[in-house]
Amino acid sequence: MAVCVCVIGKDNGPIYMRSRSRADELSQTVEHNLSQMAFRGVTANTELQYNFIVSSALDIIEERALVGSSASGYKGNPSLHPSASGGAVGSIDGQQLATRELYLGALTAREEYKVYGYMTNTKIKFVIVIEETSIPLRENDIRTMFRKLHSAFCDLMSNPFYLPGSSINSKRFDAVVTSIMSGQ
Amino acid sequence: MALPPQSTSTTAPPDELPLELLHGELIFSGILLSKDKEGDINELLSKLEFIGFSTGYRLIERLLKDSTRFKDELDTIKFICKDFWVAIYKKQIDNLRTNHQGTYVLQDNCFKLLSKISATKQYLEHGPKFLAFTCGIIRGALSNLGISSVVVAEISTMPTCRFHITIQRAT
Repeated sequence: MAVCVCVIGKDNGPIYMRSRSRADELSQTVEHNLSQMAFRGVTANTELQYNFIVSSALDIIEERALVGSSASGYKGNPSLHPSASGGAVGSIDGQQLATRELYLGALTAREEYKVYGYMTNTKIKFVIVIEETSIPLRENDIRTMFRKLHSAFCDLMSNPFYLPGSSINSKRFDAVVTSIMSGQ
Repeated sequence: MALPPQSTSTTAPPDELPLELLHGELIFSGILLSKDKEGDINELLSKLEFIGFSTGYRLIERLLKDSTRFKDELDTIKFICKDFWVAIYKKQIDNLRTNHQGTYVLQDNCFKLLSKISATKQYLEHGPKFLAFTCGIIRGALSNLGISSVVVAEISTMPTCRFHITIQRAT
């Protein structure tokens, strides 16, 4: 299940961030406000944690995209090479041939999370953090999530009131993200 | 879907007309009829160019949704010549030339926004005004792809026009 969805702009600054804690907050009713206050500290903490996870994934996105564009000889930190990390996180053994795809595959695996990345041609990055559960998600499901997100982003870009590069504040986009976070 | 024949005649299917008419009216009513000084016209043209920039910037996002990542700059320009041009003008660029050092010349032998204008010299002086929007579109599309450029256009004989793209490299 996706616990965090993040959109990162051209200059690597986040333009949209939504994590499960906030999604829960939204679904909560007014009666729970008090208990929510008590949890606020915890919430801020997890938010920060997701922020950290996403930021650390950015470097890997850069590496992957670079490999994708040059496609041939890779001269970098060998431990960061997609095939090397591919072995570590598993399930992305086919990474080599997917280099020119927008979908970048699993980026890192932390204790209980897996981080997946996607970069559009226009250097907008999407990062989805998935919580590890007993039922592993299939690669195809992840792709579908990213495709949905990309479609929503394209719709957003077509909105003349949205200034490209500014932070996203759209109900329609919110709804898509909610469906991504709850749907799978 | 088969591409429509690239003729200059007035037999173009009606579904392609709205853009041409809208654009023609923008130039005619919006710019040519504002009988002011030269400076004013240039200001309006640069505004139109900016509208094109925005359009291209947003359009390329949508058009590239299902494509793979580009290999290099030439690959990007080729996309502009083919898919991008087809999306706007229902035809491809007829000729692409490059010096492989950041200059590209795109030639359209029958540019859609000029095709309804008399091919004689009568309106030749107004011709370039009809290209400002398209220059903006190209610049916007490239800019969103991380390539900053300068696009200028020239017309020699009426429905034929050339777009010169000069890539600005950070030094």
